[in-house]
Amino acid sequence: MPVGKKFKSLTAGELQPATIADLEKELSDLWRSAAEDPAAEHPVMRASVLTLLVYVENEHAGRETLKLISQVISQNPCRAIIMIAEETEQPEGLTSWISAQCHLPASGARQVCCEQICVQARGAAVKGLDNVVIPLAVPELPVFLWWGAGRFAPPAYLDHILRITNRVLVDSARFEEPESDLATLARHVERFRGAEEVAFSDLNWARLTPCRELIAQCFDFTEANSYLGNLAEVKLAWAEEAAGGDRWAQALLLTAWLATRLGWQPVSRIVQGARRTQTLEFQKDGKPVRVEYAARKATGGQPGPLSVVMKTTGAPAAQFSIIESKEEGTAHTRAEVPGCPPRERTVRLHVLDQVGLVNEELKFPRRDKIYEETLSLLARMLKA
Amino acid sequence: MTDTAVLTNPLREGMRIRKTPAPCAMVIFGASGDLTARKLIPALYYLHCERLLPPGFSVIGCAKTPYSNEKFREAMADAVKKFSEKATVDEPSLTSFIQSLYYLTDDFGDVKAYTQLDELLNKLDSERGTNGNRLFYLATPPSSFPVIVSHLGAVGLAQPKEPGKSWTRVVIEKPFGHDLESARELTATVGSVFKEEQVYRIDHYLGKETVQNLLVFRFANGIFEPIWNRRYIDHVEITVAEELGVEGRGRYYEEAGLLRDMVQNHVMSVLSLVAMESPATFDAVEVRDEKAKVMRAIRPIDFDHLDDFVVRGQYADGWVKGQKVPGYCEEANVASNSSTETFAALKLSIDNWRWADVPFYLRSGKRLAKRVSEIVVQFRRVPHMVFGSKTENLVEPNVLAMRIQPNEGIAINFNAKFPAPTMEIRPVKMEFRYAESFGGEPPSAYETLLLDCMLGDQTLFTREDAVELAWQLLSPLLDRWREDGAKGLQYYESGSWGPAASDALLERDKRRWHRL
Ligand SMILES: NC(=O)c1ccc[n+]([C@@H]2O[C@H](COP(=O)([O-])OP(=O)(O)OC[C@H]3O[C@@H](n4cnc5c(N)ncnc54)[C@H](OP(=O)(O)O)[C@@H]3O)[C@@H](O)[C@H]2O)c1
Repeated sequence: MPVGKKFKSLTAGELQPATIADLEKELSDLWRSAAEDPAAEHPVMRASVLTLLVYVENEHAGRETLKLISQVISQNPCRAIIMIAEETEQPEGLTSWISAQCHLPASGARQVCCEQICVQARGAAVKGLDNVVIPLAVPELPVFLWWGAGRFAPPAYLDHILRITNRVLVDSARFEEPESDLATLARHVERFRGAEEVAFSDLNWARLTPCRELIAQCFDFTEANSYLGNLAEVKLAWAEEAAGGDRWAQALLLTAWLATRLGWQPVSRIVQGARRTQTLEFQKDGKPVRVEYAARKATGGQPGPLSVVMKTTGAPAAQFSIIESKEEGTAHTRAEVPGCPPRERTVRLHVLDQVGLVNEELKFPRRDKIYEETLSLLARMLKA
Repeated sequence: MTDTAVLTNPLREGMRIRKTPAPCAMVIFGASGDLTARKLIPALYYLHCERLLPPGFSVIGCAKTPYSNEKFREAMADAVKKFSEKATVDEPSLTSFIQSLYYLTDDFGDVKAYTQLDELLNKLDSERGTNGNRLFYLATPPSSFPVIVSHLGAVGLAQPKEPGKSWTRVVIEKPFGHDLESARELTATVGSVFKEEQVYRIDHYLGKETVQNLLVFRFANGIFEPIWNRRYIDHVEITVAEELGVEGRGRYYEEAGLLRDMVQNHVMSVLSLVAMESPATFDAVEVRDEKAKVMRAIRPIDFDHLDDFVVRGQYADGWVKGQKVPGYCEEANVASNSSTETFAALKLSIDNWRWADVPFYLRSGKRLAKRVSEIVVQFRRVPHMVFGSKTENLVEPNVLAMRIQPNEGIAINFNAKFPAPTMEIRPVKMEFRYAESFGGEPPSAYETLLLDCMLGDQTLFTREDAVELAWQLLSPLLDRWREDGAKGLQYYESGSWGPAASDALLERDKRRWHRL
């Protein structure tokens, strides 16, 4: 084993046609050889707390995903099955290869190894993906499906796989067409709402959690709390192409969340394509609420963070702001409430990378009702 | 009883991250001391960074050392940098955090200081929005507890500022008394000023993730509870071992000793979690009721046959991690003829239906072979060996080991057939480790517990009856040891597993300590 390397791959076999019996035999050979490896410094432990399925639509994305998985297993030991569905590629057929990723722990401890299985389907063979993948899911453990394709539009041949899945992870920051992909996602969430097991979650929503938390905290003061019902103006500003993906989907989710929590009804509709600057109208108890989006163009490769400014009606008005600072990895919050000195503080704002977010999501396999409600209202904003 | 933010805030609904408490002020008595710098301030800083503290949260430090606000802030910023165990410390959030720190120079005996404190708290309520919520933390020598508590009562600071709207709580650090009598006195003093629901006796051991996991393991799995009793369990061992010696705290240790420092609180708490009945809910009243019931069922120590139940030891010199280390009596500020114990092993019985005739062996000590805290549950042997008498000796009874630190996890030993044409049986181990399965870093005990105090969750804090019951059991033993002086004290080599008498305690029952 190379010293100083954190991961190693044990590649068992070459590319070969996928049959379950062959794959299972290969897997057991792989573990036997790892256990008997005379060069191994640490005893090998095979660990799994879940099955992670990944759906991508080309081989390049599949290989990229493999690299990311190695960072996932150190926190969430799992069997990873990467489905590469290339419906338009030839020659038609299903092939697979397996490997194991080992995470070297602190000295003396055992190394934790996890299996990775890649199943590549071309042409009409994509319809056979479920026959291979479903039997390979580890029995009794939760199944997660990480959506790695650019558009969110699950084809019909994934239906059986979706039904054995407990949780689907998407990242709306990577949606190629955020408005229509979010709408499709909302329909899927609605469709599976009755099926008790399948829940959806969005890494972009998780990215938003610290910001939502800071917004909520602004209203924990007695003096500020009474202004919550009077918010009349929200301004969301950011620089486009911010690292971590497109902020547009995030801004929409944040708006829909505020609307569900505060009882705002969408009046105007999101104008698709005109997303940099537009204003959305809501109503609360007959009074107007305006949400203004102001995306600047990121200049000089300096993508900017999100800032949220919320104002109430009436004079004097109260104002609350959360300004993220990307360079410092912090957020500055300020609450100005009539009759009180302004309250400010700076807290840390970790921006987890994609793998970090996946790791967090894998740890909490519960459905998030607030997200589901948010998405459903967002669908209404898209067609109001 | 727990409370969330006192106000209704629809934006808080369904937040997946931990609840944050309502805005409040925390007063630390003993703010220039070791505990504040080493544990409290780094934990608060971490909570601040993670957005788990409420906005407006403020700390008022009180002690004799004359600091200005600025000096105190500087000292605490240094403490964060020096003692923070987590990740990196970043300047913007540290600067913002220390702005929430204030300092009052006072002598705890001076009642005027409490009036000043009251004024400052009121000022923070209006300037920083702390809403009248107060947490008093007694990080002082225990001798100061009564005077602080009485003065808080005298100036009216012990009562909530606006009953029903705001809260006032007090956190008391261990030791909770020196013996039964002083514990009762302390309870009476605290009780004359605060109601029990305002009192948080902190035992940082209970804030450890794995100790809490013990309850999850027992009560969230259907397969263990049915066999968790005298029909299936042969005996239970609890070990809390340290490699370190007294580390310059000789003066403190001479007064305390191992039994007060570790057994009265930590070991007894772990014992009660292992042995308690299932509470109806994971709620402070229910969990603590069940813990108290077990404590009440522990049979008093039989002083006529003391050696059959108790071993008292003190470390002599020896080798630890390849280093020669001095014996306890050679440590600084320790009497050369000291009879203070640095090791204790006890055999306890719990007189109830679940545990009748199941011995609980407890041991704890300093300068032992390694730092490890583990609970070992040994099951009974199979009633009949079907594989013939030849295999009998190889068939070990099943053992369940729950490790609290380090490498937190759970292991089960069972027997398997060795692959061979003959019937060879070997014990094998099935192991689960938290770090391997879940990764990441759990919150530190002080982070968990400080947040719980602010949220009003007493589940992980010790109630007065548990403190008193532990002292009822152990105080007579301390009296006896004081009378005995060095008589009966067993010396053990540093770096060993304690005196030979500790092994003999189990050998008498045809058992042995499991190798850790
Ligand atoms: N240190 C730990 O790691 C640890 C762990 C668990 C429990 N504990 C418990 O926590 C408590 C504090 O321990 P510690 O190690 O922090 O003690 P320490 O370093 O001795 O600190 C004691 C503090 O109390 C102040 N003080 C004492 N008498 C005072 C008086 N009459 N008026 C004003 N201030 C006074 C001291 O102020 P000046 O120095 O300014 O005079 C100092 O700030 C003890 O009950 C201990 O058992 C400590």
